[in-house]
Amino acid sequence: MSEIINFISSTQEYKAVKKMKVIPGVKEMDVLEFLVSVEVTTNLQINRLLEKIVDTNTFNLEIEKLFTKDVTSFIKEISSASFLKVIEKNILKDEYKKDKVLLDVLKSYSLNKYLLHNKIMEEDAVGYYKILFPARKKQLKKAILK
Amino acid sequence: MEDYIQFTSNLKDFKQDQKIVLTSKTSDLDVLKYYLSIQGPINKEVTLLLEKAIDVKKLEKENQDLFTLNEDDFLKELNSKKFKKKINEILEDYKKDQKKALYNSCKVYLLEKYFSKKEIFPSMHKM
Repeated sequence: MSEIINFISSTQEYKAVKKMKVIPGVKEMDVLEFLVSVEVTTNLQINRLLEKIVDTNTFNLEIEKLFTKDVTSFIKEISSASFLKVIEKNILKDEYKKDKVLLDVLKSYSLNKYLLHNKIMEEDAVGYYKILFPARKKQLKKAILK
Repeated sequence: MEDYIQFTSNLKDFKQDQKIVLTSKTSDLDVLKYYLSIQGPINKEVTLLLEKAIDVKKLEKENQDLFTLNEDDFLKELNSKKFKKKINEILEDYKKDQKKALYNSCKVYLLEKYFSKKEIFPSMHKM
């Protein structure tokens, strides 16, 4: 049986198919690059859904108030009970208020925004999904030529 | 026809089969959590493959001191010329374009290792 990796989204809002067949000649780095390309998709979709679930404009205004702090203080602040209260009161709809996963996602979202806004990290060094691997670069060049 | 999202892998060392069927009862948060649930294993596999591609033992050994720093100093160090020089030495056998991607991968690798100890993640892939 051949080895394969498939990602399929067949929903009204989002259609995508990403398939890889691991045939002789396919290297581990090729698999890595393919999986990173799936991460690009999942990350985009998570952010799209987050914008539907949470009022990200209001949330961005809340976290922007903390952008002048140093990293340690910023993390302390977004992990504090007082910040949690602000999120629960102003940002989250009633049905999501006690959702621990969503709160963790918002913390991660905040740290990501902070690092990029303050240019502490480049976008391609925050997660593997933003790294332009050589094979993807070629694919992108092909896509641009089309 | 049903609406669904599915991720499957039958690689020898990476087996996954996760599917969500969207019904009228499925919320946006359910779908978001599904994406998070497939991102975790994918990111773990990416990390494992990266560990095979680069000399991780050397990378961690040479950067052990970074993990004792506070967040500000850790990030300063990660962006320093000294760090870049150290990593480029580890990656000296790679071609230029691959070297840049792997250099950033090393940064992400250490960034995720550092922040996972603090249970906060700078991207959503390790959640």
